[in-house]
Amino acid sequence: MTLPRSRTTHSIRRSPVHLTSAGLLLIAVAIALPFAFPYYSMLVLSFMPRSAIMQPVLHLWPAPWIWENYRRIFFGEWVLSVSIFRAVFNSFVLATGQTIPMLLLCSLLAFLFAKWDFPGRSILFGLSLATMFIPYQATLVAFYLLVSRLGWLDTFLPLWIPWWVPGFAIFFLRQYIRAAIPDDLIDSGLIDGAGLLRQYWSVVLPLIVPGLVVVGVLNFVNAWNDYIYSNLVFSNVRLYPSTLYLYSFQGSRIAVPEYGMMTAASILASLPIITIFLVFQRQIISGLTRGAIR
Amino acid sequence: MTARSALRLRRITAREPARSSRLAVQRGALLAVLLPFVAIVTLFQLVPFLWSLYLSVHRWAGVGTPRWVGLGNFTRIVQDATIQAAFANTVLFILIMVPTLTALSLALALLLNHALLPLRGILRVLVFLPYITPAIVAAIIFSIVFNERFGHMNAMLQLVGLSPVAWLKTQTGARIVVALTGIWQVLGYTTLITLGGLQTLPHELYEAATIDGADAWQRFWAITLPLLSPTLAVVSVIALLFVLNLFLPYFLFPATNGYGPERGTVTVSVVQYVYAFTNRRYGEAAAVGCLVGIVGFLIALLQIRVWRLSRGWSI
Repeated sequence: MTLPRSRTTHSIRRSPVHLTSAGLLLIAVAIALPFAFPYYSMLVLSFMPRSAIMQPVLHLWPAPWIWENYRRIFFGEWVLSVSIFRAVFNSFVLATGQTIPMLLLCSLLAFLFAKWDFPGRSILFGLSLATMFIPYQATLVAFYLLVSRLGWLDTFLPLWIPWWVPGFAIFFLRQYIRAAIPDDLIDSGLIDGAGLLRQYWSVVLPLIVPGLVVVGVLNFVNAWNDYIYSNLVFSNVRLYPSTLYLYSFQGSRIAVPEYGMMTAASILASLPIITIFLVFQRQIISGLTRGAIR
Repeated sequence: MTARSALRLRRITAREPARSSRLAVQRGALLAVLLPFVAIVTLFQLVPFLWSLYLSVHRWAGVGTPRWVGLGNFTRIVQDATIQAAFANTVLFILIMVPTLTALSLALALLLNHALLPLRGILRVLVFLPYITPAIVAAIIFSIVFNERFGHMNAMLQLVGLSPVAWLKTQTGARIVVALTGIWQVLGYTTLITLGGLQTLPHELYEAATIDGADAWQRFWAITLPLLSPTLAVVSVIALLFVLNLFLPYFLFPATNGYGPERGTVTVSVVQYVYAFTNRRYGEAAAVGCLVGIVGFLIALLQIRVWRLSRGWSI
């Protein structure tokens, strides 16, 4: 918006600015509404009994206000007989066991690919890039058969180990290390007699923390939100991560779904991941807008 | 840089034999890192890939010996009405969602880039939230919002005097809900990427154009759009991959395994999942996976080209 420069009187100059900022505020609200409203109505419905939810009126505030939905999913009073806390805990186990080793392994590999030379280096780096080009649909069926042959069904292993070396993370961290760590630093370490692992631990790792945060949080989010693979692996409801727990509501063949409990469970299942995102939002959003990750 | 550090490493070993033991340690460390990497990639990427190729030319229902059928699975899936619908729907969703997402990302990014927009930081976080929210949560809330009897959408339509719509029970309505939910999920992500592109555009051009008397509209067409087109290409490819992997209908229409009214919402990702793991038709599911895989591979190649175009990356 350009301000009219020719006008000099203070009051005249101010009024269009005022109008514009009111208009901009309106635009801001118009942007926010479609993104925020689904969360808001989820919150409202989670405090309402099913009978009230099903009244054909616009629910903008819970009436009547009840805690029953939350109480019932806390204590697992639902067909699964498992508390929502159990499912959220399982999601934590799943996402942490996938993300932390992934970060360690990928940053180490990225360090190797960025700063060291060894036989087979370019072939191996090419291999890690090639995995990015295999769409998941092309391996899904056999992945399930493989996991069941390995006897890994109803364990967390198939949701951890295969995800420890994603090409995207290796590639991103390699670029990051190239940009963040000067060669001289590695060389002076070599002269001091620090080996590969020691250099990694005391020189590289501390310098790439921001990159690790971005890759780590995005991977954690993906792991937390996984349904496709978790559904293949888990048949024991006590191991269900929160996505499978939620699907048991949405997918239940009951004629009238428990909307209140569904929304309450949705909130509790997304709250941890949203909190983690909000803690690191500055890094993630600047990482995305700077074009660091795509 | 690579060649230099290689030289240095070799120099250390050649000139200082005392350090050769350290190099042996290095070699051990090297193997300790590379072995798990190679093992995981081989076991969980290459083996399943080849195994899927094998399955796609065999007939197998999970027990007994797989029987060689050549391209039989492929001829069967192209004649299968559900799989035909899945491919047609996926193309339809691509045609609707990719241009919409690209245009909306641009519009939203332009607004979020406006210096005077209040609450910019909060809005940027807010539009990104759906992207990190589980798809199943998005499906639960959107299936309530679009419920025919008590959903918010029909309540609002009735408030302004319109008659309610059977969103989830008609083919068109169901497709609209899938497209809207999908756009809601991913728009924040594509917007932030567009925003990143916008922020790299040179200020001086805008200043010069303003001095030359170009208004905002002219500046948009003459500067923003042409300079931003590589970023918009990236956004389109991301949207394309998102729609190719669209699994939302499975969560929105659980009673029909995601097929939706009159198979109106079944997508390739959904049909593959259901054929493999509900119907145990592994051969056909693997064949669908191969076809989708080829398309996905081509899109990924396109993505690399577009990356290079947009930021001159060399891999």
